[in-house]
Amino acid sequence: MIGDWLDVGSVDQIAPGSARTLPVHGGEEIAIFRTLTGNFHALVNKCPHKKGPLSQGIVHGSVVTCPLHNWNISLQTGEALGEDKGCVPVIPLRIDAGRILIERASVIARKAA
Amino acid sequence: MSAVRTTCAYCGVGCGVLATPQGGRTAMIAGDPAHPANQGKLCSKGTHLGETIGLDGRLLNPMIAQQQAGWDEALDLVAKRFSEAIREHGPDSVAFYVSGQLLTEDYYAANKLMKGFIGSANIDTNSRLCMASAVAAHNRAFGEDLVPTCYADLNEADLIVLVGSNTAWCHPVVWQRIEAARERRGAKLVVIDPRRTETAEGADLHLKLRANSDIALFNGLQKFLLGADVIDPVKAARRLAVPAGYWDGLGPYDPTAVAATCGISVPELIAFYEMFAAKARCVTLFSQGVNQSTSGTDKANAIINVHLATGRIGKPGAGPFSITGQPNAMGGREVGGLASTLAAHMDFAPENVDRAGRFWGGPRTACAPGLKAVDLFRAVGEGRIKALWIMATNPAVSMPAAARVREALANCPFVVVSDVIADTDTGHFADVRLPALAWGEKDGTVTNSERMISRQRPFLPPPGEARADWDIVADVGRRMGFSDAFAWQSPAAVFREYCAMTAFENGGARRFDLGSHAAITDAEYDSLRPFQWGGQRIAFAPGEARLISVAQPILEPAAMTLNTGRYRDQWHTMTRTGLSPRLSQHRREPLVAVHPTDAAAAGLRGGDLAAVQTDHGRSIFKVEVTDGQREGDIFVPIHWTDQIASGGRTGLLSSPSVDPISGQPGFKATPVQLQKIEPDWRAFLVARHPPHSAPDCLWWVKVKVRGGWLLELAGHGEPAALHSLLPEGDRLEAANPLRGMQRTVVTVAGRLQAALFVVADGELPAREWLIAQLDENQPGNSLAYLAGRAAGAEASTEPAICVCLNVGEKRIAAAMAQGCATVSEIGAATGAGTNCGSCRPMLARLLSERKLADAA
Repeated sequence: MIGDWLDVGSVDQIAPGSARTLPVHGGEEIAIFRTLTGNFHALVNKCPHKKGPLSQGIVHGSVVTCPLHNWNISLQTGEALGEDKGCVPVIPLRIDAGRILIERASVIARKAA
Repeated sequence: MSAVRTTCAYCGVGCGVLATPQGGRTAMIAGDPAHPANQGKLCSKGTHLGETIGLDGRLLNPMIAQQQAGWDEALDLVAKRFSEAIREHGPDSVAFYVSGQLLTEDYYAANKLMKGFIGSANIDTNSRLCMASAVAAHNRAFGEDLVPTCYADLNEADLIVLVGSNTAWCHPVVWQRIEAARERRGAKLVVIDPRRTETAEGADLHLKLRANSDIALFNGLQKFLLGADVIDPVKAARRLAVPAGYWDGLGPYDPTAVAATCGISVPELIAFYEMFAAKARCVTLFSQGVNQSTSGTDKANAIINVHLATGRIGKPGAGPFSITGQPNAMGGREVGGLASTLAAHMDFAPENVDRAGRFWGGPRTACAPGLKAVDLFRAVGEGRIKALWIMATNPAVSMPAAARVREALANCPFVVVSDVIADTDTGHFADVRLPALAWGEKDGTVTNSERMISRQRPFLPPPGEARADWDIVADVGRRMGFSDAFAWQSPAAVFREYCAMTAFENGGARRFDLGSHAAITDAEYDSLRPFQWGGQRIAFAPGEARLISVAQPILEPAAMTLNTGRYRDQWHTMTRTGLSPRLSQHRREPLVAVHPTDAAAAGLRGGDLAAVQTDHGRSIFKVEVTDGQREGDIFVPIHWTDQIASGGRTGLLSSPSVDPISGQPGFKATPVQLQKIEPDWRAFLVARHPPHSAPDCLWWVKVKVRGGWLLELAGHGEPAALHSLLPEGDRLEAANPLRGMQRTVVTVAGRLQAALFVVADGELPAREWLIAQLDENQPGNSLAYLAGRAAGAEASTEPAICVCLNVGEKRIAAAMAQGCATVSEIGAATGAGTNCGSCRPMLARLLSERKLADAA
């Protein structure tokens, strides 16, 4: 149902290889990434290591490198890569006619602890 | 080509090295299994000598001011200016400041020129800063500068006492002997040092004593040994010359007072004393912690007194062992290239002056002691020295109160510097720079700490116009009018004359006698094998050795004191070891080591910057917090110079106070203040080529890495100027102005040329992966460079703990997790520690930290 997905903006609002943040009232901030190859991903904007702002990290391949301590986080799974252990929640996302849609239930449920 | 037998360029252990040239300026380096000092082993510095024999930075031609000149022009000028100064102001208006890194032949030529022809004793050496107190103590106790022990004594000892020596870092191959003796014989190890160094970590007993309280400790030991009947004054008086009142002068036995003076507990004190009493086969090995003190001579005599009084000397496994710092400080002492001796173990007694004059046949022989190092540079500063020749050393960095030395050099009318490197802090002040041969090109002899004379042999051709130091000195001697006396055509000829001098009218008056070698042929000199003068050990006939009354000086209380010393993988002012990427890994930056209590009081955490300030100067260091330090005592390394850092300038800080007998500076206990520095930003630059000019910011350190250079930076204000450090090329930048974060990557054809990362607060990423990209020099993903790591799942690169075999901490942790419980097992699993062995103390420490963590 259309109500299950939130329209958060146009694909043109995010440049390739960068990210924008989405504040969530009463919930955790979300980072929306666009890779160089045109894929979009959404993660909670907190590195599993020390809660660094992933939206400010370098996006390369399908990975974002956290600016605080250089952990590599997979944009597809939210898992830390290499020997680092940790996982950040992935927010289901889809693109429809040039609009970015994210799953409402995941966003609402994601209240700040 | 086949291997050439030579010796190492670095410390006084004097290991034998096999060097096999591989074409160009490369060679394979291995320990010489046949050399008695090391039997094939080498430490990290020796192992990586091959990384320091390139021609980068070499001085290849004579220079007059900043212009290249021919040898004739340069040496005519040197001869002229020295001769003029002597004519107008007398022989004592000129001076040589030479080095324990010169070969014996170089030392002999310089000493002969100054003492036998110029007629002054103004020749001193950087050995003044390292061995002078030990020399003076030997002279007082034995009547001659003799080291009575040998390395084999360490193999045969039941107790080894290390005083003021971080042996595992500074004499690693001797440390390996000590480790082997402990394993094989169960020898006990006591380490006496205000710091818990890696040497102390594994000791049976570590006395973390207060600086300069050693005399109280060893005088107290003698009282204890008297009480325990290990010392019998009646028997002692039969063997030794004992000054009147010697035993009474030691005072009553008062362990509480001794422990209080030394800042240790009474049980620890007694434990040491009891161990010492029980083990007749004991060696007390001492180094700069004893020597570099304003009471250094007395401290050394206190140690020698114990061994003389107990008779534990001149026998297998027993004796006081002064270990030498530099590779040929001993050669210099033997030649007599010091202001306080004449030549060949002769002092300035009139019959010696006469004898030297007749042997050398010069117009004028020095007849009184000259200016020792600290006094020499003071005299330069006061304008009393009109011409100064510095050879193979860097006093603008290494002298205490170095700022005054720099002023003195700047104002000296004529300064000549012989060196292998074109740009050194000292060379900056030279009117004439002369290119000398370096290790691997030099041909001559050296003496190590156990009186073993070995050949240093060349295996590389002389580069540019560089010449041997003895040859340069002789040429100047000829140009000053002394043609016949300086006519040698080869180092063998110099060596023969030198040996003849040691035997001349000797007849047993001096133990130092190389007469057996005065007539060796050139072929015999070429193939000369190591030989030990004085016999394996030196024993003394009754009355030949004497006890010397020494008293513990009153120690001035200070809120905080500054101690100085070495890092494991660097040598002196890093003009050579600084060229090696491997050796740079152990400690990349100059750190000030601070006890946690002192750190908390100053608001400092590990990685912060701090200004270290004394009455003599100020310099910035990065902070390391460690409970290895004594409270109230901080430690800094001696190695960093203007060429490679804006901070870490230890020479500026130390007091120029000297021991009154030896003239050796007390580098190890200067009153100091510590103050936190808060930069606005921190940064690093990884670059293939070093920046053209030094960065203009508060803190920068330049480190050689594989594939290029790493700069660590910090500063105030706007970091925008850092962009001028970047080379031309394609740039990719990421910036977050709100957070003060900037990253810039420069590539050419996709290959990384430089990466600059700046943060205002927060952390910089690890540098290793970017350095590896420089080294691999393959086209890559610029975004990955900007991220500081690849986009994959592979492990991040990390600095190596075992530098020889490139094994990092994670691999070692994995080996420990899989059950490796000893250093040998870690070596079997990963290879770490199996080559030069220098990292083994670190591996032992990681093991014990893990055991503590598991037990917790």
